[in-house]
Formats: sequence, C-alpha cells, structure tokens
Amino acid sequence: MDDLENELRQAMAEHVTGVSAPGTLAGEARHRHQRTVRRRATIAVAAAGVVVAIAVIPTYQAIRTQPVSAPGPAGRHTGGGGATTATPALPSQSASPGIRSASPSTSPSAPVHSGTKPSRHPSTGTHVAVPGSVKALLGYLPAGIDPGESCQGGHTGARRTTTCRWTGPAGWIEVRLVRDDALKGPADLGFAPPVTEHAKVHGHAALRAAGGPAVGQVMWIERSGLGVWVGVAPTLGTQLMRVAEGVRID
Amino acid sequence: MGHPRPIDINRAYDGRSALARRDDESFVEFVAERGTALLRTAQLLCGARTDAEDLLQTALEKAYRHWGRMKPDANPEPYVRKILVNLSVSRARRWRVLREVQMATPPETPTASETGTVELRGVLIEELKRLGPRQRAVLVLRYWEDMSEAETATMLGCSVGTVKSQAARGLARLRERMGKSAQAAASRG
Repeated sequence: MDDLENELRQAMAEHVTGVSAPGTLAGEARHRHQRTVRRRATIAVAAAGVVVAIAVIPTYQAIRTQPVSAPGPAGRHTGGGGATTATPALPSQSASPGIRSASPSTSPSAPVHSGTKPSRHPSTGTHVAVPGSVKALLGYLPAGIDPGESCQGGHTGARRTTTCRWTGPAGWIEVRLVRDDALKGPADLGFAPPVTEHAKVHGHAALRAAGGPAVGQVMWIERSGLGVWVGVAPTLGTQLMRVAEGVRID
Repeated sequence: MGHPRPIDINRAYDGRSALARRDDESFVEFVAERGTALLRTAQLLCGARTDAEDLLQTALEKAYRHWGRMKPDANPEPYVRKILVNLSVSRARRWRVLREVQMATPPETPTASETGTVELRGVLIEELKRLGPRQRAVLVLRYWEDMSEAETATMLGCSVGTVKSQAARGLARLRERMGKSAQAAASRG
C-alpha cells in the first residue's frame, strides 16, 4: 500500500512539474467577474424592461388614454381598460393659436332631424353613440382639435343617424354613424360627393372625395346596416384617413 | 506543498463581518503567491491543462465575488481550494456522459522498458484520470495536498468514513488497473 501511495505522490508531482500559473490570472478572474456583473445587470435590466412592457405600459395606457368611447345608449365612460384596446394613440390636445377652424359649410349637410337633444361633453374625452347599442371610438384626434364634441341624433324613417363634431383651432372633424338595414354600399349613405375615388378603411371598401369643395370626406359600410361617414376641415385633409382609421365601432 | 493550511475552512469566510475588508490588492497578491499551487491542484483534479486553467479562473472569480467579506487575518486558500474541488466534482458530474475526464493527449499504451518506473507513474496518472471525480478528489487531496482524512472530509463536505472508503477504493482500483497494465505490457514485451 505504501509503495503505491508513494508512487502516486511521485507521479502527481512529476505530472505537474513545470506547471505555473500565468501572471494574468488575477486580472482575468477580475475581468471575468466584471463581465458576469455586467451580464447580470443587463439581464436584470432586460427583465425589468419586459416586466414594464407587459404590465406597466398597458396599465398606463388604460389610465392615461382618454379614448373617444361610449358604452352605447347608457351613456359614456371616461377611460377604461377594455375600451383602450382599439385606441391607437392618445390624441394631442395642444392647440395651435392663430389657426381657426375652417368653415363647416364645406361638409355636406346630413339628413339629421333633431330627435334627440344635442349633448356637450367635457374635454376629458368624447364619444359618438348611435341609438341601438352602437358605440364608436375615435382613437385619433389631430393637434388643435378639442376632445369635447357636440352630438346630435335623429332619424328619417328607418334610418337613424348620430352626428358628432369636434372643433378646435386647427379645424373640425365630423363623424356620422348611420344605422339602416337597407345600407349595402358607401354610396347608399347619401353623402357621396360628385367626384370620388375608391379607398379602404378597416379593410372595408370606402369612397373618398377626390376633388372639389367636398374633399376631406370618406365613407364606408362598417358592417351590415351600419355606415360611417367621416369629414374633416380642409386644413386637416392630410389626416383624413388617419382619423377614419381611428374610428372604431363596437 | 508546505503552504499554510488552516483546518477550519469556514473561519476564512465571514459574510457578517464588515470590518477590515480585503481589497483587490490582497487578491492579486494571493493569486500571485498561490496561483501555481492552485493550478497544479486543478490540473490533477480535472486532467487537462486548459480545463485546469478554466476551472481555476472560475474558482477565483467566485472567490473574488466574496473577497471583500473574508476576514483579513484568515488564510483564503482553503476557501478557494474548496471552491476548486466542488467545481471539479460538479463539472465532472455534468460531463458524466463522457465517463472519463477529457485528456489533453490520448492515453499512451505503456511499454516495457528500462525506465519502467517512469512509465509506471505515467500509467498511474492516466488511471487516476479515469477514476470518478470524487475518488480522484480524495486521492489528490490526501496524497498531493497531504491533507489528513479529517481535513479532506471537511473540504469535501463528507464524513471521515467516506473519505477512508473512497481512498481505499480508489487505491484498490488503481492497483487493479496497474496490474492489468503490467500484465499487458509483459505479454507484449
């Protein structure tokens, strides 16, 4: 036994003869430690970012965004987690002084009868509601448009229309929701200007004014029996489609 | 060998003490002084030189992480050595699928010659590498580090009886394999 142990000792001593640690060993260990610390910090920051993205941002949006929403005929609610899913952005409320709204006369007149009392909501958010449990969300308001709207509802025979209007220093926006079982295409809304071009809103076929004083209008059939017309002041003509795409109907 | 080696490893590390902390300079001094001895132990524990350097760097990094909390008057070497041994055992377990420690060069078949003693030592090292990680660690600590059975047991976190049995089995295995190698060499010669 002793011979083997001694031989093993000698063998191990011979095996490691000439082995010496490099002079950079301590520095490399420290650098390795620093890399580990940096890597862990990066992972921690990334994990925190993911947590923020998953939890905080939707919560923030639910609290801070003021969607143009309404629960239907029961009234409106200001903000809410469920209503924000269809809201792409918080509309800017900064108004540009000196820019006055364009004349509303450029928008076609709607066949609205004063069946309901016009409403005026505070500037915390607006909604467009059509009688019959239809609600609309206006997810984008251009700068210089106040979020408070003025709404009117009315009906002509079987057709029920709600018209809401937003104004501000930058101009105006008008949205009309028309409920009529006879609606088959955008032209059936009755607001089509003389010169139109085809467009798409929410994936639906739309008609958009292509020239003349009616430029700044687009209309489409959101679903069977429900049509939408959106008009903006000429000063907001470039943002027409964005406003239209921001309209959500529940 | 012949370096200071306190018996109580746990006394080297005191996570609660905030007084008189060790600094970077003492770490550099320690590595410069004891790096070679630690690297030799690492090489015996894991076989290949490159693996030994990597193992030692990992152990030193772990030690550096807690360096500031070690008592300044305690010898940190047992602490670092314990990290080294634990790393080598756990790493070998991870690579158990290979069954054998990676070797820098393929094992040579011993041949009979006049320098039979030298070759016997080479075969011993090769057979040592083929032992299980824990048995190898026991033999390295007992016969290279000259640790007592109690110190080895403390280092490995096991009982003295386990150290005794592991050492006896390791030596028996070496003796058995050495016998087979000697027979094979004799038949070739």
